[in-house]
Amino acid sequence: MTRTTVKLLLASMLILGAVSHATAGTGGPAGGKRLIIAQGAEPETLDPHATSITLAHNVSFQIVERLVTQTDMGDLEPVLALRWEPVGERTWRFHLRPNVKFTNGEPMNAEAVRFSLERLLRPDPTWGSTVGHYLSAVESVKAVDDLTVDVVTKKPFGLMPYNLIKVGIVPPKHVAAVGNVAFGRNPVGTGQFVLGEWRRGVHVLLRANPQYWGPKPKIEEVEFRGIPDPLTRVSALLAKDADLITQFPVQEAERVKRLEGLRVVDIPSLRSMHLLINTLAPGPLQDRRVRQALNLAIDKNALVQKILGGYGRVLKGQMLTELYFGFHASLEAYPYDAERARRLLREAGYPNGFSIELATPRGRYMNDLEIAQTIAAYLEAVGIRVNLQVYELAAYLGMLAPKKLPGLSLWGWAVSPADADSQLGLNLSTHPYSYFRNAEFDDLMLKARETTNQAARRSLYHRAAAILREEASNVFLYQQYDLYGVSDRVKGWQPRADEFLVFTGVSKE
Amino acid sequence: MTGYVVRRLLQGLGALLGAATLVFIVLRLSGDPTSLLLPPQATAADRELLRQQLGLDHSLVWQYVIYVSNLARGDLGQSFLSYYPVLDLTLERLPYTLALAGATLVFVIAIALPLGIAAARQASGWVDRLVMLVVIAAQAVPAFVTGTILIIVFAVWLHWLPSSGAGSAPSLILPVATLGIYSAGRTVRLVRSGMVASLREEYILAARARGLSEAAVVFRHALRNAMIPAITMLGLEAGGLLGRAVVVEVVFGWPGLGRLIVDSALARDYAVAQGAILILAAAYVVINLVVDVLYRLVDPRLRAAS
Repeated sequence: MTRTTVKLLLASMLILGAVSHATAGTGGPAGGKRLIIAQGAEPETLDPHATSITLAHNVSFQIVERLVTQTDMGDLEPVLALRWEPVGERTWRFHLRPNVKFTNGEPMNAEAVRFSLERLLRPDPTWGSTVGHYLSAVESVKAVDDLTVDVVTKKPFGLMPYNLIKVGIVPPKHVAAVGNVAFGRNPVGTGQFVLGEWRRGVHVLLRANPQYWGPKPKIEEVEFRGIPDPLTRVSALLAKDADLITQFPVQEAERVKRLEGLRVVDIPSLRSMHLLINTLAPGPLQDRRVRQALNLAIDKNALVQKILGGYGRVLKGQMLTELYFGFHASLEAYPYDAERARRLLREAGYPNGFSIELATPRGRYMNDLEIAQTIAAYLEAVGIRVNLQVYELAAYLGMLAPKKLPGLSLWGWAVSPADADSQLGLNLSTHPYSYFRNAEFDDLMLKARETTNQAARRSLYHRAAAILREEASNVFLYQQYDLYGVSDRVKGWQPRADEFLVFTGVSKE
Repeated sequence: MTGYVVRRLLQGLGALLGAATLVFIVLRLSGDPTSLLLPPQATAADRELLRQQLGLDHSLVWQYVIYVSNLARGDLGQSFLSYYPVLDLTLERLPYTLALAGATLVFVIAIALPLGIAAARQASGWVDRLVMLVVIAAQAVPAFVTGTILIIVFAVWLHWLPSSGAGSAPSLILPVATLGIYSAGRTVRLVRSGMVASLREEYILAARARGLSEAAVVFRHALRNAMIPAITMLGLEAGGLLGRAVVVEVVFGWPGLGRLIVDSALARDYAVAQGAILILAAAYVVINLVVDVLYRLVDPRLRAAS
């Protein structure tokens, strides 16, 4: 029995050791100085070059800054670049902000910008980047002098400054010293915050950068936690374990809104919900009248009011909203007109309708399954028999590029930069996700891409959007809102359409 | 005994290879990570480049050959998301899972032994009925419901404990309670039935006839004999705990291996999901081996049989 006792002792020591490791306390100020954010997950990496996932950028772009950012109205805003202009046909010249240093002391200059962009242009084989495509138009990057950089593109490329909102400027010596992969855990930048501590799986703690070149943050620390379960995230807010939670579940909004001490904040997002129509497979969907009938048969307003609790806005006959560069303000939504839908189906030779599959993910978009079910009911009402299929997200996405999607499927892309090139571009015949073919539309889009005059570029997108509406390339549904839960202790915080969290001017009582 | 252990270890390696193969196939049959990793505006060329970088451009059979030969060299690969070595990513999560499962095991024993003994002392008495009622209720409620209720009561209403996360020692209490309530229910029933059977044995009658105290009868004679099936059961339970911990880890945002598996499987971060499942399977194999060895040490009859 003594042997068993020893074993039991050893086992309990092991358990105790694991427990103490797993629950070791955290130091530093709490309370009023620390803002606690709960997102759906902890970032995998704090290297903004290694991932394009927003919740990771929400942390990494507090540390690493970019040349430019986009305001909530879609305009460009200077950060590390003070101004920029096209020089000749294929060159964009950026003038950098002087006297900016990385927090490790390295200067932020033309060399650092060149290094950062080239890090994406020529990635290391043992380290990949999913951000590289923002620079796929770039031929070379040249340091003209210490504070001037030329970005030379392969063809004229009007979108160049917009694409740079995704590209962080990193310190060359530090990256070389720690290596590309390890930079993801030891990020250094020029931003408002520096990495204080990252206890994997527990939190990422950022501290205010005392040497920041611009307005210093009012809060001393920002703690990011990953809480995957939406109800637990709400509980964390209610229990005051978190001050601000993202992706607030819409089902809880009405209940939580009535509580004291916190608020549910909503904002129209960049996400344009639509049905993707597979016009590549032979069948009724290749007929424009049928596609128009689909647009007319669905009461978009009812979807927004009844299923989304008002947290959405009907799209104006296009995938663009006023948040996007290129939005066409005078286009109208297809009205809800079941009678006209039936007439169009008759004209197209389907007086008795037809059968179709509608695919939807579950839990990806706000109330996605309920939306798909309601759409199915509207389509049934005009004689289209719908077979609804529900998919897990990765499997659903996996069908997209190989063109394996059925006739109709529910999608919504929030693309950043908020530009028609990326949102309308999803319908370009050359895009891997496109199930639509129209030569005139393709021409306009490619011409716009090579136009560096922004007014001319805008009017080309207006024409492209009008074609998509007339051709009913998609079933245009609604712009989805993002919801946040915020404690009343947090002052001065505003949500953004692109889901990016900004802490300038934010304080906590 | 040494031969037995070696044989069991070889069996365990076989089980691990089976688990690795199964996970490899299932993950790859159900979607491609490139669409999850790249933003929507990525071109066909960007996608192809990423597939090459991730080694997804090879045939499935070749990918499997590479995977298994890397495994044989102890290389679990890199994450598609962070490019960090999978071994590091899983090892930093392992202590959390061990802490959760270990503390739960202690919780289960602390609850199951007294309740099981109390219920068995007067089978079908009121204590027994009450305990059985609670136990069945505990087993009937799924963990995500128990967990959510505990969070609302102890974190939101009473503010006694943190709602989620792993920042401090109290944050372990609610996940352990959630995970333990179910297992405790099962173990109570097992201890009770073992004790009921053992209390009916003639050696108990003999012990009582010898005038031994009630405590000596119950603990020294009845309990030790009732513990043999309970040890096996606790071993299996420990494996089951690792599995059920997945749900609890997601509900409480507890950063264990279970959550890593769920996150990486949903993101199709193949190498991480494979590696984490492999580590968990290895833990399961080791626990079972330890239990079987322990069992043989406790019960001489089994040693003779092998």
